[in-house]
This record gives sequence, C-alpha cells and structure tokens, in this order.
Amino acid sequence: MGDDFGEFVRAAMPSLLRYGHALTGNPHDGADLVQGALERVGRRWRSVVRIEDPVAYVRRAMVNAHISRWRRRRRESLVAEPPEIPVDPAPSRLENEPLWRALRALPPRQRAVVVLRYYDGLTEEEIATTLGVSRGTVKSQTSKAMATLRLRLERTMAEGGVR
Amino acid sequence: MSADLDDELRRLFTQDARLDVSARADADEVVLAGVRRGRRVRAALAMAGGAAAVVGVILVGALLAGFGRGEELPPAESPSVPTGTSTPSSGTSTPLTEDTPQTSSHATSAPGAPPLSRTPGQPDPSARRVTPPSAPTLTTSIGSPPSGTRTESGASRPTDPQRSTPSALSSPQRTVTSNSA
Repeated sequence: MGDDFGEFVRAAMPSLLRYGHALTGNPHDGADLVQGALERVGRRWRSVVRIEDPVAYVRRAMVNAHISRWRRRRRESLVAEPPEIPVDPAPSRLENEPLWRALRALPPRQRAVVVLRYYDGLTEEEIATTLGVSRGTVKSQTSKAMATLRLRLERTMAEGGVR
Repeated sequence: MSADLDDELRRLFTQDARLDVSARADADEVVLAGVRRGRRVRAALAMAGGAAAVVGVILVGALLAGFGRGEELPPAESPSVPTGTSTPSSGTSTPLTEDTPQTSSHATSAPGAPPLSRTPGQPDPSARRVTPPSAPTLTTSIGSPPSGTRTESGASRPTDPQRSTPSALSSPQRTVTSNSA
C-alpha cells in the first residue's frame, strides 16, 4: 500500500465526497460510498495506480457500487407495520433547491447517468462503458431523467416555488 | 427550457458550494485502517483455504493409499486337477467332475436333502446323467470304485450309463469298458 495511497486519499477525499453527495443525494450515504470504494481500491492499489486517472477509476467504482446497492435494496419486503422513519439530523443545505429535490427523486440509475454526463462530462459512449450497459440504454435513461426533471421543475414553478 | 436545464445542472454540479462535504480530520486514517483490515481478512481466508486444501489432499491420499491394502488375501492355491494316467494311444482322459468319490465327513446337509457325500461304490441316487452307451468315458477315480467299469488306469467303477455325462469344462471323453469282468 505505502504512503502513496495515503496521499491519494488525502488529496482526492474532498472531491470524492462531493461526487458521492451528488450521486446519492445525501452527504452521509455519499461518505459511506466513498469509504467503501476507497477501501476496495486500496486493496489493489498497485494495479490501480498504473491507471492514467485513478480518481476517475474511483468515481466509476462509486457509481457501480451505488447502483449495486440500489439493486439489492429495491427488493421490497412487505411488513405488517411501517418501519420507523429515520430522522435526518442535519438537513442538506440544498433542501430548498428545486432542482436538487427533483434530482433526489430520480431512480439511482437515472441519477447516475445525469451525474456522469453533467458532473464528469462523459459522453454517452463513455457512460455506457462505465455502467456496463448499451448506448441505447444510456440514451433512454437520460431522456427519462431529463423529462422527469423538467416535469417536476414545471410543477414547482406552477405551485409558486422558488426557482 | 432544455438549455436552461442543462446549464442549471452544470452549475449545480460544478459550482454550487452547497454540494461540498467537509471531510473528517481522520478520514484518511479510517480508510487506511479499513484497507488493512480487509487485507488481513483476505490473508486469513487464503490461509484457511490453503490449510483446508492441504488437509483434504492428505486425507484423500491416505484414503487412496489404504485402499486395497486393508486385507491380506490368502495365497493362491493351484487347483488340484486330477491328472489322468491315460496315454494318447488309448484315448483316455480325465473328467473334472465329481466322479471322484468324496469322503468328507464333516459335510452337513439339511434334513431330507440328499447327502453331500457318499461312500465309494454306492451309486449316486441323485445323479441324472445320461451317457450314450457308445460314448466312452474315461475317468480317474481315487479310491476303489466298485467293479463293473474299469478304466485304463486299472480302476473300476460301476457301469452306470446315467453318470457319464461329459463335463462342461472338458471335451467329450472316452471310457473303455471292460467286459471281461
């Protein structure tokens, strides 16, 4: 492992936390995602360090881990009583941002496509490679995500929300 | 609207400071500790798997090495095939049948069952052998068979045409019957 991985973690941590926040819509889930991805990368750091851009590699690992976690959690189990709703101790500073609220309501895969496109600036082909899906899937997911965002922003404006 | 949305998304992701998350002071140490813990777990799993594989190989090897050595088989005995004393010119041979009288004294038999041994000289009542009268059978008997049939070796046996069926293990044989008796 060595000190080089420690230096990498210290240097890339702020940007990765921001990326995780954008990806998950929650700073705490984002921090968990960053920690898990960095631990996995650190176990094979010798092979990752040869990659041209290790930060981009970690970001893609975060996207895949986030979607995998969503796939595991989406299998709902019916219960007799509704579970307790956790109280967010520190509401996000973006809670009053309509665009952010609309983004948080998107399914994880659609949100990941939006983040990869507008945060990372990746093309459709690169997004398809990162997510392991076809280019058509990326197109359809992007189209659905943008349509949903527009619809929710229009509703917010119609209701007199802050834009 | 579409261009506005694209611009808004880019502004939010790249410029909005509210998206920043302050890292803990020991965040890097937490990550490095997790990496070390994961490496230890992987090493322990690898060692456990290797040890299990070695034990498995040893057990399988011991099992295969012991297979077939468990019981010593008794030494093989050469079958005591009675040899005939006939000569090729006389055309006699020796059947490998129970024509040889057996005098086993410890043979047991079920009640009502025919005895497994009989005294030489007594005809076997259970024998159902049909031998053509013209088919000569040469037998070699141990003991003193009753008179009536004489083999080339000088022994005689009762003339019983039903007892001279050729054995399945031997070829048809000839019996030289002595009518001079």
